[in-house]
Amino acid sequence: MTIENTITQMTNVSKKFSKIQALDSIDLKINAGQIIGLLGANGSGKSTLLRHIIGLYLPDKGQCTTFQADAAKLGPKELARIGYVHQEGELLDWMTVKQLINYVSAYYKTWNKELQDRYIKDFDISLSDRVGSLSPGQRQKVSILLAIAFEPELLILDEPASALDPIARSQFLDLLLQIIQDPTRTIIISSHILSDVEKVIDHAIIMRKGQILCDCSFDQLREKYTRFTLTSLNGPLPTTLPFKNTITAQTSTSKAIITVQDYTQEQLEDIAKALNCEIEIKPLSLDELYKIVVS
Amino acid sequence: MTILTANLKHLYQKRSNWFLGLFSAATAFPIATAITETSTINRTGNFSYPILWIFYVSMFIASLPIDVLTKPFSYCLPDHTKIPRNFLFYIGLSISFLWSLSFIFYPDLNLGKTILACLSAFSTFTIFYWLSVWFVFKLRNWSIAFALIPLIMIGNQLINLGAIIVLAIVEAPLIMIPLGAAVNILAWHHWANPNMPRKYCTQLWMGTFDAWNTKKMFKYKQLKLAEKDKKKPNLNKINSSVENFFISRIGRAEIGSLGQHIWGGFYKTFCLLISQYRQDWIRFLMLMLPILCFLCYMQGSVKNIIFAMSGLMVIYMNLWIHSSLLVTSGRKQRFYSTLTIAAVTTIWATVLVTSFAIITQLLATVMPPLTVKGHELIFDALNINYSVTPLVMMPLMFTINLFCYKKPMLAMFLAMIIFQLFFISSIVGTLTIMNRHIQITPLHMIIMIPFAWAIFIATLRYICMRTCLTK
Repeated sequence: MTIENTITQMTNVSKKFSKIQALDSIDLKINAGQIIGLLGANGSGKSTLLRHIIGLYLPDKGQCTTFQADAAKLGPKELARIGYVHQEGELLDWMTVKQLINYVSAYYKTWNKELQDRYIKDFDISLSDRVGSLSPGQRQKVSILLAIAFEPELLILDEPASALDPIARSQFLDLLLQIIQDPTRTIIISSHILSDVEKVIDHAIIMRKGQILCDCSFDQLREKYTRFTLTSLNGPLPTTLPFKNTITAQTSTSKAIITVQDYTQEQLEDIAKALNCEIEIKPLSLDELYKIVVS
Repeated sequence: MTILTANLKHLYQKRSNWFLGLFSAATAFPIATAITETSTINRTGNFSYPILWIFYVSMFIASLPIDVLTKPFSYCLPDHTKIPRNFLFYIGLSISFLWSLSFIFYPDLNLGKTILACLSAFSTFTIFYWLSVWFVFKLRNWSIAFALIPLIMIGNQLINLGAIIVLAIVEAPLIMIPLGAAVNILAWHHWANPNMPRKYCTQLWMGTFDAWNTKKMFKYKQLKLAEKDKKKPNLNKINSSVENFFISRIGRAEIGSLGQHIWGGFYKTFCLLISQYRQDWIRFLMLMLPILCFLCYMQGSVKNIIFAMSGLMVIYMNLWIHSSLLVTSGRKQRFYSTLTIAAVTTIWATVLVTSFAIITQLLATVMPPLTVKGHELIFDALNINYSVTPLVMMPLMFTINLFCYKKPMLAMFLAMIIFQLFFISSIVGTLTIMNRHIQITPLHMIIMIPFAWAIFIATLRYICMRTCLTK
């Protein structure tokens, strides 16, 4: 991987808010074209990490670079390459949606009017409404529009779908799927709705208490943990099953549902054969993988 | 635990209520002292002070059941129709009774008349109590009732309102007692209305000290905007020519240049103000003229509040430093655009107060002396030399704004200290520090200008370059 491909890099970044360690010695490298799911419970440090990337927060310790520049010193040229949907969706409330779009678009050379119009139509955004009187879901739609319409190289979405209704969420996911078609675009999406994120991400970062528990590709994560059902073909299952690194196991006399770590499919099939059992391997969902990693 | 005690838990669970309790106690003490001291001297309106105390303290008290009623679970509470009423009655009758005992100290009354006066005072106090409670239950943001304080004070000054009420209590107990009883019966029925929890459940109602609850205030503003939009769709909207002017300048400036961000800052800060000049500015001037006249007729330094007022107005002004909306604004851009906005706002305020001073100078040539209650009041124009005050006051207020952006209450507290110490009491006359009398003159003000701006710029630079930039 060449250095030009690195969009953002954090080296030993720590951040403390009074007594709370929001980030604890974070080392992270995000490359161009990655679609990253940033996962974690409330207060795990996701938003803090994202705000360091765009330079809104300054680390107490360590260094954070974005587009090869110190994140704290990002200028308009670098920032114009970043789209950011803020969790709280701060907007200018007294403007109408149209005025707000006119205002924000004036800052960007790359503003795509066609994309803007399509998004407004698909998401049923009323341009004449005052921003301050929009519902939380409508506000979030406007925030998303403002973040994507200039086709940023790095798109940071901090809980973008939390206030959207199921239909708008599905539309938003469709839009994301279109955006990720561009292989040069990097997206970092932080969300609690893991079933949504699962459809788009190719890399997962799982955080807990300011630390990164897992930073790997989604495929690697899925290969690392496997859940399978073992059914005895003849008589009861042995009392002790020969699986090392067992994470969870629910067993009855002739059936067991087991989650293990670091086994290939072939290895599991060989063991099942030796035990005279039938094995059914089911891929784990991101939700299940998240629970396993965090627990 | 009964529901009533659950309601009462608010009294000690909320920190703001501790403050309120201390405030009530601290204000009750001097009132009680004033009443007992006056009793031996003459009959004055001091006996009416408890009314003001009851009126404002009751607002906070009434906001407690409102807090509960607006909660989604209020329906599920047993006896939910009676509890707010009981709570309000217990407290209202108790404080009215305690304050009515102050009439024991009323001079020159025999025992029978004293008892009647106490009963009459009790009835009258409950009337004001229920009026205050009604305000809270009627107004979504009842804190605006505090705007009545200056009116009450002026009323008291001009027509001796307090003395009139006290006279009514003492001299007409047979009117005040039945009147109070009628108000209490009405209140008893009104607050037992079974539809009340339905009316308030999940409604946004501003509670004790909610003016500093940013999330609630945000929701409240949203609601007010939606209500205004429904009534008058064109009110508080940006004029299209103003929008075009600013947007074309932002668009024409080089992408990412400081100019672009400065124009953007101007647009965000001033567009609404400029757009509304036809409605708000004319209304503002129409309002200011009588205020200026009133202040100029008042003796002493109180009129100089005009020079310092602009400083207070910027204490909560959004300087956009902590904005997360537009990330093309780097730290440097935020620094320069904020500095420019602050400078322009200050110049604007200085021009405005200078205009006021000039207007009063012109009015001084035509305004006649007035005689009020035997006192001759002369129209004394504002001293134009003090028009430099905003140049000192505003950077200091901007500095407080920057430091206390997360603690608006502290910001207001600090601003009031500066406002009070520096400008109101000392702008004309002397400032006494450690037994030394310092005459604050316009020259002092001019000398202070660079210092005030140096403090502001250093703070702004520190915040922009060295701190986290989100709320």
